[in-house]
Amino acid sequence: MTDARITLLCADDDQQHLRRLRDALGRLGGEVATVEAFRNGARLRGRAVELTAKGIPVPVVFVDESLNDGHGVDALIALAGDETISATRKVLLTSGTDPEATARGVRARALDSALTKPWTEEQLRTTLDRLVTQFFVEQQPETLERVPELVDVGVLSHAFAVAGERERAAVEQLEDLQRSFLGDRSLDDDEVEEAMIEEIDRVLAHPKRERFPAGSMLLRSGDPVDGVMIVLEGSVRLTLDVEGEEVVFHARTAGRIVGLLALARTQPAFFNVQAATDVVVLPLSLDQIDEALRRSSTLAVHFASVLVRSLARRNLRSVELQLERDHLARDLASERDQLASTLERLTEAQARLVESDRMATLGRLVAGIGHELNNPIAAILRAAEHLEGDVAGLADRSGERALLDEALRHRAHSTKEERALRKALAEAIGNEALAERLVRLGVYEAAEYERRFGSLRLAQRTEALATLELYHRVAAGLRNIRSSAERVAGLVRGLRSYARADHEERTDVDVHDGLEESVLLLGHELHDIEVLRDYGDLPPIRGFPGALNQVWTNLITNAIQAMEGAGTLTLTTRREDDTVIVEVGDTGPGIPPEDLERVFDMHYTTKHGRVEFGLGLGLRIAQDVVERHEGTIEVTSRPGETRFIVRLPIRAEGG
Amino acid sequence: MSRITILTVEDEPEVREALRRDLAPFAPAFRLEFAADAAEGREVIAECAADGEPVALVLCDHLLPGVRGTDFLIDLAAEPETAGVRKVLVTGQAGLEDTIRAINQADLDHYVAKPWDPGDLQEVVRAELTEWVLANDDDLLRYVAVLDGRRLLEAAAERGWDR
Repeated sequence: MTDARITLLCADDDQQHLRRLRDALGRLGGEVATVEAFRNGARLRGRAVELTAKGIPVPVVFVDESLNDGHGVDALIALAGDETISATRKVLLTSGTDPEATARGVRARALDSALTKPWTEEQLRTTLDRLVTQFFVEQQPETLERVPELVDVGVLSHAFAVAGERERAAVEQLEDLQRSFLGDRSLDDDEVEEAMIEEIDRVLAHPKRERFPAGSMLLRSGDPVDGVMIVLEGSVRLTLDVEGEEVVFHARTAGRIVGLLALARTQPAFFNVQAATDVVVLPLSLDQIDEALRRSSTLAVHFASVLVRSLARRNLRSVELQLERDHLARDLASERDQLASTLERLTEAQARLVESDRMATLGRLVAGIGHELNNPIAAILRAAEHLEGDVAGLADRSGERALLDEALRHRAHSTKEERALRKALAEAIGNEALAERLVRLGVYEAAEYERRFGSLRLAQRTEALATLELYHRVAAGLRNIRSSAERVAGLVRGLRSYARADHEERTDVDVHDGLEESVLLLGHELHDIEVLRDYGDLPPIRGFPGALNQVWTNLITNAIQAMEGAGTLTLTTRREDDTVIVEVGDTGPGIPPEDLERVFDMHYTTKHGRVEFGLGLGLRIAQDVVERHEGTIEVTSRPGETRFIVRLPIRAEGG
Repeated sequence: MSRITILTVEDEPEVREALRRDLAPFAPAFRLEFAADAAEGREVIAECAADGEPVALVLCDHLLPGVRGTDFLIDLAAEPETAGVRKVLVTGQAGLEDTIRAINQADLDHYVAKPWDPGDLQEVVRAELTEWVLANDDDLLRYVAVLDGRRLLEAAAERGWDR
């Protein structure tokens, strides 16, 4: 049967038995099977290998227990040892007298079936069909139709059932795997952990729990970690010794699985783990975990899920901490900035206090001195008056009153004019020394000299000149005493109103008086400065005259310094509605635009000290005073023209 | 030789008058000139030079309109014609810095603080003029009555009476 699709092999040392077996198989195999018979086990095995290698299936071999080359079981064991024909089903024909041999075959998994002699053909057919069907279902189910005569319906249906079961299991496993990474997201953390614990209990037959009282140290930082502990009841806390201090971590960092971090990093324990309450833990060694994971794919899913969730939780916590830290750092930075600016303000306030204290002390001193000076000034002025009266009395008695009056009326010329007059007169009368004396006596021309003294003899003339000179000296002395004393009185007045700044009360203030007093006080600084006044018609304003004088003094001082002592100072006043405007202008180099805004800052000075006044407080004090009067102060500047513009309400609300 | 000149530069008339009175004792022997500022002071110096009556002594206020007193004195010291003039600062307000500058650069001979004592002022003027006369004048005996007579006589003796 060259077109046979399968080959069945059989072996027996007994010729008669072999023939009977071959014939029976031939009948059962029909057209699809060729039957070959052997008396030697090794030959049968060689043939089976040969056929299988050729692609001719050898689904079943039937071997009697007694063969030419030994026991049939050993032949089958040898057959089973050959991997190329491992799928071939092996049937032992046994007399039942050697159970030991049969057991040997079973142990070696070398027997698929055994038939007890004498066998019936029905028995043989059942065995044959079942094994052939198994062979084809397992090896090449698509070729089952090639052996329809041999198919065992029972085996086939069982095969299908098994295949379906396997498929369902595979699908479930796949679904599990699909869920695996994040697990079942419908479950919360506790539920996932519960599911994991249940599964561990199932596959590891409820491993032993351990119980620790509160405070027990479950794990110390640096301990080797060879497993995890699952906290079933109670809670643990994580701590770390940082520079001798115990830092306790947030409860959310802890979670229920202890040792996870160390395990994941295969490093010693990172935290100390301490029982916060009485706890029940389930300790699992690495081996136990491995074992459980091998046995249950579901557990792997839970475990992965718990792991991911736990790590995610810790990561989230660390992100939160990072945010918290950043937030704190920001708060800290803003607090630090606030402190810095507060300190700056305090320093400024202190400097102003010191300055205003200094000014107040100075003010009291000046007021005191001013008061003290008033008496001698008054005495001097009165004495000058009395002297004038007394001298006039003496002059009356000596009949020289006219000479005195003439001397008192005399107005001195400038040194230059005097020189010119002297020169001219000297040329006219030919005597320089006499000319000088005459000019100082108000006699400027030769004709006048002739008229007044020409008729006198020399001795009388000398006498008359000396007398006139005496009256002139007296008159000049009186004049000088009066003008000097009045000047001192003016200075004292200025100082006193300037020094009043402290305790003064609001009153009507004449702005022009204040400006003039300031100019008078600063007179010694104004030698080379031309002072231009453009005063408008101003009503008195309500305010503090001393404080306002301080404003004018500071602004004028600033202008003088900006001009380095030489230039033009312009004082302009005008009225606009209910406001008085005072402008103090100078012809200095100007304030750079970038510095304009800082002019009223306390420490504003330029590199060259052009705008530098006292502690740099002058303009600031001016601003304070103006603001106290509910006014404004501003500055405009370009090279050669800087103007401070003060606006004061005529009637401030406070007044 | 003709008179020598004392120049006083002071801008305030009252102060100028006071100085004039206090310098009156020198009037018979010296020409007294007054100027209100440095520029006028220069004019006076030029006029005196033209008259052949050189300025021997300058009394100068510091706070003057225009050129400051110290600067005026420094300028005088820098020019050969006036380098030998005796220079006295009469002031109430020259700061230490200006004064030091005048001493170093103007060869300042004396500093008189306001208000001055007339006797002291006259003493200073007498001493400075004596120095000038000794350095510049041959006819020392002319000034024996008004200046430091003793010094002048001693110097004249040293130089020999024949001169």
